[in-house]
Amino acid sequence: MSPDEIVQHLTDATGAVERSEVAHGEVSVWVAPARWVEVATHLRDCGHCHFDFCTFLTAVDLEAEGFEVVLHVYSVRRQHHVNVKTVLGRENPSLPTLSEVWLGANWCERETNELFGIDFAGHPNLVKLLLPVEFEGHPLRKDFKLMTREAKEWPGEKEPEEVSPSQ
Amino acid sequence: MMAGPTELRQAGTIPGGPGEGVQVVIAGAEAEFATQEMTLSIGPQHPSTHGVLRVVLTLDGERIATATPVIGYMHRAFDKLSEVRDYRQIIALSNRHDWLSAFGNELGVVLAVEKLMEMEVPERAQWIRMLMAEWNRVLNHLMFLGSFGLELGAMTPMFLAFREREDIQNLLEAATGARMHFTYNRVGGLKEDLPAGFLKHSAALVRKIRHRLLDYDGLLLGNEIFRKRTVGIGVLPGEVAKSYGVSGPILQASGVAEDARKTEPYLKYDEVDFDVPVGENGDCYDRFVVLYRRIEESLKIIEQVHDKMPAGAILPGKMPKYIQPPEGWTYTRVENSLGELGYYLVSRGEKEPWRLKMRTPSFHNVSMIPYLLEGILLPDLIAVLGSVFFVVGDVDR
Repeated sequence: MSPDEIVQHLTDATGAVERSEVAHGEVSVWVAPARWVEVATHLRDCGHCHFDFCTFLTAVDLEAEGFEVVLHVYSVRRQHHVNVKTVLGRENPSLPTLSEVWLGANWCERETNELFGIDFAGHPNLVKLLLPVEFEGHPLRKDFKLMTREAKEWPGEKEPEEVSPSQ
Repeated sequence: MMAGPTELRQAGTIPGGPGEGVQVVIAGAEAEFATQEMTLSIGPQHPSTHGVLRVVLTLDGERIATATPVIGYMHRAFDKLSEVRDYRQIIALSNRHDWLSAFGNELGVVLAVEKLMEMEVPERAQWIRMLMAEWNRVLNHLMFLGSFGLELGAMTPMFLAFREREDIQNLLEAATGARMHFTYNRVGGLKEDLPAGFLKHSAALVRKIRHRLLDYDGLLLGNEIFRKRTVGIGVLPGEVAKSYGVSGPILQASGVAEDARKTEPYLKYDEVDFDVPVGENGDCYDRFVVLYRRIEESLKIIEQVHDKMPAGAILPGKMPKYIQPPEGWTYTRVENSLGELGYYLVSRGEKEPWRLKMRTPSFHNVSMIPYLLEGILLPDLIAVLGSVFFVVGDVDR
């Protein structure tokens, strides 16, 4: 399906598409958190969609607007991609798990959980993956400051002409 | 108390000196011995894990009951660091993760940025990128061909692979100035043009490598011990592989002909002729054969690039002063040596990305390991780990 056909199909078949965007031949659809698992299951099981390849799941910090969770899946048979997105509030962000829909979602959700502090309800093993167990905070949130940059100015921040030759 | 006839039949004698043998009666010998599971932690410092991957196993005798990969020992916060660096600096950051295919890593980033900026890359730069990406793929696959043999007890393939790798490294060094972290890509094109005589050397090296590949065929593919240890071991069905997001040679070995160079050609891959090799059974042997065939296909592509290489510039005539992609998002993928490498880039029109997510093939490959390990025998673990191609830096990012 072409990007526009995917939007049309998902709108007709699930009725969950709140907003969509097509750019550079890629497609994003936004759905409500409550429809998350339902839409994902449709993407996997519907013969027109046939999204069988779990590419990645991650999040983007939108600051005041909260967090945007991004799921990207691909269909090897139909050779089309889709980004499914949903926006969660900053206070206790939580989403049901997709680990029963695609096997690959398990680790992606663990990573997103530790880096953004987003809870995935029903996940079988939501423990830290990349970070040490005792690590505090969620590093990919925008309010988590990179301490080395706070403590010391980074020379790479300047353009070459801004630096005098003596430096 | 005298033992009854049934017990006596199960009785054994522990031999001693003449007349000193001790008769033992094993009570309840028909019942199974009570066993308990043992926890065995392999790695992070173990040669078969290619770096610092740790796998915690519970063993029921020789059989693996559960396997849990423990990762993160090399986590370098690529995603966070890219948010405080501009796009030129990210190129140098991105090629450090999969250190065996540094060129492919850079390529993904610059393609994503060029897509957002809708930048035209000169023809010559695109062909050179393809040439380098394919040499890098050969470099990477040779490493895994050699180390796979080594882990199964064959030392020679490792030495042979490194002999070939050295020649390729010298060739790439002549163009890029670096052995590992090439940093040869720039947004819009390349750092500099190929040195004089490069294509001639490259063509000679293709012939040399192709000839030497026959050694591997004889040493490993037809080797009876090698076949015994890999055929039918670690079978991965294509459906499971796709659900895990496993890509590249492992997915192809499971019979799925998915290759971004073929299905969504970038650069000039639609103008060259090559095949995507696939396996039949998805076992360790098939993964190895697919890896071997992929080298042959890469050499085929390299030869065609030599013939089609156009003259011209390697950077667009007019470059913007700052690289600032407009507001937007993109997911751009390339077929890197070990599978699908993609960058999900969110730009807010600044000099640094708002979010840059690196989707690496090794991460998904390693997440699938428990599927292959659970239920197999401990000695097969080495064969399975060696055939699930991953680089730890690429897993942990």
